[in-house]
Amino acid sequence: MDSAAENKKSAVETAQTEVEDGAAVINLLRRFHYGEPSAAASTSAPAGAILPALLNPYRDSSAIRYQYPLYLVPRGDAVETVLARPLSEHLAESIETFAPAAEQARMLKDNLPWLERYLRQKLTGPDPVDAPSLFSEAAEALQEHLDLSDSNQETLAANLAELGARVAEGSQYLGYGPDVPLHLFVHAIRHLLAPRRAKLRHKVEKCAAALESLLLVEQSKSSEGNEPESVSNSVGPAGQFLDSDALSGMLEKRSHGSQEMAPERRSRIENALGELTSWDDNAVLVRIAGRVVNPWFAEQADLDIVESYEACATASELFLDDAVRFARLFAALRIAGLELDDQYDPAVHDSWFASFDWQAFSDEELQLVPRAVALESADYLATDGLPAFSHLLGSRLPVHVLTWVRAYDNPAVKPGEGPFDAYRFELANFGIGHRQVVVAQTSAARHEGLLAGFTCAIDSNRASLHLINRGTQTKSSKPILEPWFVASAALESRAHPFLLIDPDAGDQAAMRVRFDGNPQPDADWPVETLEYQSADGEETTMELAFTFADYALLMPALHEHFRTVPTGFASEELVTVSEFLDTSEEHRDRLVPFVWGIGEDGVLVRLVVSRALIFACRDRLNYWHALQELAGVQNYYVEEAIERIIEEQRAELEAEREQLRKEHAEELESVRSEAAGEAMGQLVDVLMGADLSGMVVGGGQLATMPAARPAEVEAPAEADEAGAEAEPAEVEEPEEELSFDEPWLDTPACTTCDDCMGINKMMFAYNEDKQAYLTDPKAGTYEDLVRAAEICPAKCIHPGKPLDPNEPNLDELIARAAPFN
Amino acid sequence: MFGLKGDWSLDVKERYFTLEDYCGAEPRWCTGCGDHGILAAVHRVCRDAQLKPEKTVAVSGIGCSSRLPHYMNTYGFHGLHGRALPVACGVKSRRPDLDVWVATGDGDCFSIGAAHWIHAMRYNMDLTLLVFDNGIYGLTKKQTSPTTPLDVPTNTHPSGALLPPLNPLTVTLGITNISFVAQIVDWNAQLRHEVIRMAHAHKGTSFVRIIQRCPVYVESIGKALQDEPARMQLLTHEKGVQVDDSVKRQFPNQAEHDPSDIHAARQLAEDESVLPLGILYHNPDAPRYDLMSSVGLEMTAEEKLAGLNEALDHFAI
Amino acid sequence: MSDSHVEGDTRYLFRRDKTWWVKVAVPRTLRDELGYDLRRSLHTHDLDAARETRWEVVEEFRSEIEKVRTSKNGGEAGEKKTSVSGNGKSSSGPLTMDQHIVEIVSDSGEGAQKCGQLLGLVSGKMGNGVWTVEIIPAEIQPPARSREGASGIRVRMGSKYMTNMGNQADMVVAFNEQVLYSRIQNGAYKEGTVVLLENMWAEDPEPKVREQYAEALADFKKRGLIVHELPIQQECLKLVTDPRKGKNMFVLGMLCRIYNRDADKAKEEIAKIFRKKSDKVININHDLFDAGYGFALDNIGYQFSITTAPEDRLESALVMNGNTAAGLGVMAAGIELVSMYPITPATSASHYLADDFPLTGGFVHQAEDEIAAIGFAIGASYAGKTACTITSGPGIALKTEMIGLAVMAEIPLVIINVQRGGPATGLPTKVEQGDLLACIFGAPGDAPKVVLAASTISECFHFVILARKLAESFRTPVLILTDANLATGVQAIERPEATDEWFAPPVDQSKWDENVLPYDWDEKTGLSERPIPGMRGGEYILTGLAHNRNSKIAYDTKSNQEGMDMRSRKLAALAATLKPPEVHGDPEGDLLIVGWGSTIGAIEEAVDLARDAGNKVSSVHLRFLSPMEPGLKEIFSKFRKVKTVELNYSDAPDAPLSGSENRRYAQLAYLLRAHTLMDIDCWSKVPGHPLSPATIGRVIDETLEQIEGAE
Repeated sequence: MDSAAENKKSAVETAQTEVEDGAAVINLLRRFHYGEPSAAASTSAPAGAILPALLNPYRDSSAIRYQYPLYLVPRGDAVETVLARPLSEHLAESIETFAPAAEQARMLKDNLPWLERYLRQKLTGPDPVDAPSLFSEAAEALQEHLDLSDSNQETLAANLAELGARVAEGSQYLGYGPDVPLHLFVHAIRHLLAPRRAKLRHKVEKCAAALESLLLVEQSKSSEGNEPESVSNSVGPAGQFLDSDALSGMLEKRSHGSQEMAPERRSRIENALGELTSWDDNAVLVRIAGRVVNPWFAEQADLDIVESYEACATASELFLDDAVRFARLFAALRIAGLELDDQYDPAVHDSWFASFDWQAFSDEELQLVPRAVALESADYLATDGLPAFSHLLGSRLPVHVLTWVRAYDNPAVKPGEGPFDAYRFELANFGIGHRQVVVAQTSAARHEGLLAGFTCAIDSNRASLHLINRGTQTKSSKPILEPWFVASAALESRAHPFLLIDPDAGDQAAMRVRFDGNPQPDADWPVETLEYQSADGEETTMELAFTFADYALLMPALHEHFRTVPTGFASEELVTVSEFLDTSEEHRDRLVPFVWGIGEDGVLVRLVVSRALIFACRDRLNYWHALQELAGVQNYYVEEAIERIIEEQRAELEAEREQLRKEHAEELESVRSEAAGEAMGQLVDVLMGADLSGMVVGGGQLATMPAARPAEVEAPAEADEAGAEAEPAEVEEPEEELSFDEPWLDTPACTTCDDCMGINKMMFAYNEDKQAYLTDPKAGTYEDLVRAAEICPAKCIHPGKPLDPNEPNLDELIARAAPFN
Repeated sequence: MFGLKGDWSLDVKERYFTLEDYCGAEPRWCTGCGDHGILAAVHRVCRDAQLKPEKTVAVSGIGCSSRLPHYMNTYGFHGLHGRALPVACGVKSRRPDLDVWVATGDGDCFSIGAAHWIHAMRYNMDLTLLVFDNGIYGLTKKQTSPTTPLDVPTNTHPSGALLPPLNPLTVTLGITNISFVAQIVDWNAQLRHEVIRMAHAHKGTSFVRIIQRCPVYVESIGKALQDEPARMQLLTHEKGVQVDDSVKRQFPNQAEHDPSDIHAARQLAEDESVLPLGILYHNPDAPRYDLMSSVGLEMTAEEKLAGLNEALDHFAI
Repeated sequence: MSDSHVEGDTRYLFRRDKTWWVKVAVPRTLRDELGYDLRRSLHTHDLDAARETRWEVVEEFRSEIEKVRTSKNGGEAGEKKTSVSGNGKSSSGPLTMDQHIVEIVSDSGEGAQKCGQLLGLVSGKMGNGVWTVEIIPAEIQPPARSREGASGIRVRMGSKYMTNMGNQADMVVAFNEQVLYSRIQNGAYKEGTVVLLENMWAEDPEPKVREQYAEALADFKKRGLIVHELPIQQECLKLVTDPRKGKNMFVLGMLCRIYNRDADKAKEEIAKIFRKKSDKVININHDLFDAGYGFALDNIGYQFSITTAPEDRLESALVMNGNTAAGLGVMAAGIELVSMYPITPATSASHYLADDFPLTGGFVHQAEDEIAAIGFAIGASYAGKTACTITSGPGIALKTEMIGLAVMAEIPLVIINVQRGGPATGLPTKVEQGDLLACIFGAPGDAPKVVLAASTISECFHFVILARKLAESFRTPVLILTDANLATGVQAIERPEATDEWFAPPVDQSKWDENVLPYDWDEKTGLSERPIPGMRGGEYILTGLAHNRNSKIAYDTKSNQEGMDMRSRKLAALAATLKPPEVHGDPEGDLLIVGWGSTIGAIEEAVDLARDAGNKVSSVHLRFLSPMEPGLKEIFSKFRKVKTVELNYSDAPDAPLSGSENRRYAQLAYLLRAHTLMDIDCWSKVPGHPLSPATIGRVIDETLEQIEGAE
C-alpha cells in the first residue's frame, strides 16, 4: 500500500450491541454466501461509497503524494540514468544537489509541497507537458502566493532558479491518465532508438562520402580526368603560364599502373551510392496500428498512426514494409563496406544480396527499423482476434502488442456472461505459450515495471506482448477512487500480478522471469496494518490481508457479491476471506467469509462474500502460486526437497558418529593388547587423552592414524629405500637423452641466423615459421653437422653419433660433438 | 534474427597470408648476422597478425639494419641516414590506416638521427621501432658507434673506443610521453618473437632495442654475452612478456618487474652491469600524436570548399 | 637621478635619500627665466604614493613653464607649438592626391606596424590600391631610441593598383627622433617630407636625451624635412598610464583624419584585432583612436584624400600579405599537411595556417628541426598525401639532402622558400633574391627539380595550386620562391574563385597492375605513375640509392645513366608545355630589363616611366626558372641590351680586380648567360629593402646612356 498517506481518517468500530436471534442472521448470511436467490433478495448489497478498509485513507487523493505525475528525463541527460522518475522524488533530490544541509534553501523546502500540489493540479491532462515552462510558471505562482519581503523574495527566487536549472531542457511532466502507458512507450522508444537512428544517419553519410571519393579517383585517373580542360581547371589561374593541351598530352603518355574499375564494380558502387544518397530518412520511429483517440499521438512527427481493426495483422505489414525499405539501405551499406576494402566477390555476394531481407538483418540493424505496435483490446485478442494474434506472436517479427486488461474480468467472456461465469483466459500464459516472446504483465500505476517491460521488449528484437492494467473503470460513472489507486489495488491483490518474461535472460524459467514488481512476492496476499478506534475510542490496529475480494469491492459491478453484516453482530463463524481460504476443506463448511469495509461515515463494516467470488479468489490464488513457482519464488518441490536433504544429512552424521565410536573402541582394544615400547605408550596416551565427543570431521584422521602406524615405525628405512629407488628413476630420462644417437635440431629454439644454411643447404631447411630443421642428415658429412652445432648461436643443433663409420677423423669430431649432444 | 543467415557474407573473401607473402628479396646480410633472425621475427609477426602487405610500410634509414625493407614484400622506404623516423611519422600522419615499421641501427638512430629518436618517441605515433644495435658501424666497415663498448678496437679508434658507450635505455626512458620500451637479444627466438609481437600490438611508438651480433666486425660483443648469461636479466611479470621454461633456462638470471613502473624501469636501465631483457616500460594510455595529426581526414570536397571560402572571407573587403 | 634598481615607471621622479621628488625639465629657451629644471619633494618614501601624487605637481610645473613661455613670446606661442599648419590652413579642405606614401617608425614594440597595417587595410577597403612594407629591426628587443632599432612600416596608398613600395615617403610619423636616422640612411625621405615627431623627449629628465633631440631636430631641418613636434605622449597620458601601448592607435586616429579615412571602418578593424581580448581593451583603443582623430582635427592642418581609379578597382578584393596568401594557396591546393620549423620570415605563413587550416581539414606539424620538417612532409607525400614544407634560406640549406632524395625517388612535394638575406644567418628579416642558384643546383649530384618564383601576392596563392598539380603529375619536388617583401607586404588582390577542381583527388587505393613497374618511365617524357601504399600489387621499396625501373638498387652503369636521363627528361617535358613569357612594353627596343620575383612592380613602374619619357625600354618577368621558360633567345635578340635587375649580389662592373672574365654575375644573369649564350648584363644590389621604381629608373637611364655612348 502507498504508505505516504497523509490525513489518515482512522476508522471507527461501533460498539457490539447484543443482537437477538444471532442464529437467524448468520443463517441468512450463509444462505447468501451459498447463493440462494431469496437470501440475496432479502439482504442488501452495500450501498454508497464503501471501500475496502485498507483503502479508506485514499478517498481524497488530492493531498496524497503518489508516484505520478512523472518527470520524463530527456534524451542525453548525463545526470539521469533512468527514463522517468516521480515528480516529488525528482524535486526533492534536485534540491539536495544544491542545498544538502537542512538550513539551506529553507523557504523553498518548506513550501515544496505547495509547489508540488500546484504542479499536480496543472497536470490533470492526459498528455505530457513541457516541464521547464510549467515549472517556471509554478515558481512564479509560489512567489506570488508567499509574497515575501524583498530580501527573502530574492533568496527564494534564487533557489527556485537553482531548482529550475535542474529541470532539464526538453524534459516533460506526465500526469496519470488513460494514455500513460502509450506515452511512456513512446518516451522509451525515443530514448532508445533516436540515438541509434542518428548514428545510422552518420554512417550513411560517411559511407556515401567514401564511395564518392572512390568514384572521384576513377574519374581523376580516367582519360576525361586528363582532358586539357580538366587539367587547366585543376592548375587554376597560374595555368596561364603553360599550355594545358601540351600538358595533358604529356600526362597521357604515362603507362597507367592504377587499374580502372571493372564496369560492373563501378555500377555496383554507383547503385549503392544511389541507395545511400536517395535514402529517405523520415523521422518515424514508431508505427502504431489500432485505434488511438487522443489526437496528441497523431501530431507527433516520429509517430505514425494507422487506423486498423485487425491491429496484429496491420502491425506485421507495417514492419514488413519498413523492413523492405531498410533492407535496401542495409544492403547498400554492406556493399559499401565490401567495396571500400575491395572484398566484394560477385560469385558469393551477388546471390547473397539478391535474397537479402529482414531475416538476414543483424541485431543492430533490426534495432534501426521503426517499431511496429499493435494496439488491441484484450477482449478482441482473446476472442475473434485470437488467430491473427497467435500468428503474430509466432512469427518472430519484432512487433509489439499493447493491450489493456481489466484485472477483475475475463477477457474471453461472451456478451452477457459475468466475469466469473467462465475460467479466466490468462493472456500472459498464452504469450508464454509462444515461447520466444517477451511477455510483460504490468500496471500503469508502477512506471518502473511498465518501462522495464518496454525497454526489455525494444532491446530484444523479439515479438512482445504487454498486458497493462490502468485502473480505469469503463462501466462505473464516477469511480470512488482515482484510477491510479485502483490499478495499484489490482497489483496488490494479485488480481493483476507483475510479470516480465525475457527469453534472452536465460535457459531456466526462473532466470527468464522477473517478479520483483509484486509487493510481498513470497506471501499469498500482502498483509497490511489497519489503524482504527475501537468502540471505546482507543487507537488499536489489526493485520489485514488485501485479497482479491477486497479488490472486487472496488468494482461497483461486483457489489452484488457482497452483503453487509448488521452492525454489532458477532459470530464465531464469520471469518475473513484470507482465514477462510487458509482453512482446510473439512473445517470450512460452516464458516462464512467476509471482508472489512469502511463507508463514507468512516465506520468499519463487515461484508460477507458470495461463494462465486470466493471461488474466484481461490482461482486467483492458485494462479498466483503457479507464477511464484515459475519465478522460483516459492516452489513446493524445492522446499520439500530441502527438508528431506536436511533430514538425511542429520541421519548420516549421526550414523558416522556412531561408526566412529565403534571403531575407536575397537582400536583402543587392539592397541592395549599390543601395547609395548615407549612410543606406543605415548600414542595410547594421546589416543586415550583425545577428546572424541562431537568428533565428526576430525574423525577421519583419527580413524586412519593407527593404520599409518607401521609405516611410522619403519619410516627411516623406507625413506632410504625410496631415495635409493628414486635416484636412477630421476637420472634415467636425461640418460636416455644423452644416449640418443640420432642427430636432431631443436627447431623452436632456432633464431634463423642462417649459419647452418651457410654450411650445408641440403642438410638444413626452414619450416613455414622460417626456423631451421634437419632435412636429411645423410645430405652432408658428420663434420658439417658438428660445425653447424658449433656455430649455432642458439645451440639447438645436436649432431648425435656419426652415421657413416668411414668418415675421416671421426674420433676428433665425436669429441667436438660431445658438448652439443 | 536467430542469426539465421548471419553475417557470413562479410568474411568470405578473407585473404590468408603465409610467411612467403611477406618475404622480399633474398637477404644480403652476412651469415651469422643477427639481422636474419630479426627479419624472420618481423615476417612471423606480420603473418600472425595477417597484415595486408599493401597496407604495411617498412621505413628505414641507412646501415645494415636499414636493408630490412628490401627483404619485405610490403611497401618500403629506404631513405636517408638517420632520417627514418621523420619519414615514418610523416607516413603515419595522414594515413593512420597504414601499419608502419621502422628499422634502424645504433648509428642511424642513436647518432646521426638522435634528434629524431628523442622527438619521435615523444610524438608517440603508432609505429613499431626496431633498433638493430650491434655496437658498430657495419656497412661502412667497422667504425665506432655510440654503443661500441669501451676499449673495443675499431677502424676509427684502433686502440679501442675512447669513451664509455651511450646507454640508449636511460635516454629513452628519460623522454616524456614514451609508451613502450623493450630490450632483447637476437639469439633467443621465442623472447624475440614475443617482444616484437607485443611491440607491434601496442598502439603508440614501441621502442625495441635489439642487441644484435655482428660476427664479422665485433664478434666479441655477442660472444661475451652468450658465454656469460648472468650478464643478462630476464624481466618477468604478468603484464610483461610471457615465455616458457626453455627461455627461462637460457636466462637463469631473472627479476620480477612491473612494466607500468617507470621509476623501476629507469633503475633497471641505469644498472649497466646487467642487461635487462623483456618489457621495461609499457603505458597504453600515453597521448598519440597520430590521432591529432589525422584530424579532418573525413572531410568531403564540398566541406573543404566551404571551408576554403570561409577562410577567404576572413580577408574580404 | 632615480636609481636603476627601481622597477617600473618613474617618469618625472627621482629619489634623494629615501624621499621621492618630482622633476620637470625646462625647455632650453626658458632656462634663463626658470633655471635648468623645476623640482619639488613629494614628502614620501613610497614609490607608489609618489607615482600617484606626481601628476598634479607635473601639471603645475607644466602650466608654470607654459605661462612663462607665453609671456615671453607674446601669447600665441602655445598655439603654435601644437598647431601644425601644412598646406596653409586646416580649414581649407583636403588636398586630393593620386597617391601618397606614409611611414610610421618607432622603437620596436610600440605597435607602429599594426598601426600601418590597419591604415593600409582601411585604405584598401575604401578602394585604394595599397602596398605596405614592414620595417623590421633584426633584434627582437633592440635598445630604445637606437638607430638600428627602427621598427615600423611604410604604407603606399594610391588610386591605381599598387605593386611596390614606391620611392621616398611623403610623410612620416616618428615616435622618437633617433629611429628616423636608419630610414634616412636608407634614403627613405626627400626634401619636403613631412615629419610628425613625438616631442616628449624635449622635456626628458635625461639631459643627454634632450640634447640628442635638439640636435636631431636641427639636423632634420637642415636636411629639408618639415618637422612638426607633437605632444602625442602627453595626449595619450590623458587616457592611459602607459602610452607605449596604445600610442599607435592614437597615431592611427591622426592619420585617418589626415587621409580622410573612414573612421568607422578603422574602428571595426581595431575591434577585430582585439576580438580575443575584453571589450574594455577594445574601448580603450577606440578612445585613443578618437582622441588622435580629434587631435588631428584641432591641431593638424594637413588633409589629403586619395582618389580611387574605377578601372583599377577590384571586383571583389581580399587584403592580405604574401605569407597568408601562400597559406591559403596550400588550402586551395587541397594539401592536408604543412610540416615546418620556425624560421623568419617564413613562419607567419604557418601561424596563419594554424588558425584556418582546420577549415579544410589540414594540419600544421612543427617538427624538431628543418630536416625532420621536410622528412615528415616527404613521408606524407610518399603515402599519397602530397605535403608542403615552408622555410627560408638557411632551412633550404638543411633540407638539401632530403630534396635530393625527393628528386631521386621522384616524390611529389611542395617547398616554399621565403627568401631572406644570406649567406648563413644573414639578414633574417630583410629581403633578398639570393637563393635562386642554391634552389636550382644546391644538391650533390644532378638533382633536376621544378623551381617557380612568385612575383605578386596573388601568385603566392595561385602558384601553390599549380605546384601541387605539377609535383604529382611530374612526380617531383616543386620549389616556390617568394621573399620577405612579398611575405610581409600587404596588398589588395582579386578574390580567387575557388573550385574543388584545385584539390588533390582522394588517395588512389585501386589495385595496381603488376606489369607496370614503380618507375615505368616513358622514354620520351621520363614520366611515370607511382604506386601509393595501400594499392594492392604495387608494393615496392622506395630507395634513395641508384635504382632501376623496378626500384631495385642498381649500381650498374646503364641503370644509373638511365635514371639520370629520365629524371632530367621530365624537366624537358615540362618546359615543352610552357608558354614563352610576355614582354611588358614593345617586343623590341634598346633595353630589356629581365627580372623575377617581387621586383615586378617596381621594374614595370620604372619601365613605364621611362617609356613615357620616350625611351625604348621593355621588361620581361620570369616565373619558371627551372625549367626555364621557352623563347627567351628569340625575345632577347630583339633588344640592343638585355639586363637583369635583381635583389642579390653581383660584382659591380667597375669593382677592383673584376673584369669581363671573372665578374660574378647576379644569379638570374648567370642562368640566362648559360641558357642563351648571350651577353646578358645585370644590375643587382643587396640593400636589405625592396627596390624603388626610382632606383630602377636611374639604372635604366644610366644603361641607356651607356648604350648611346657605345655607339
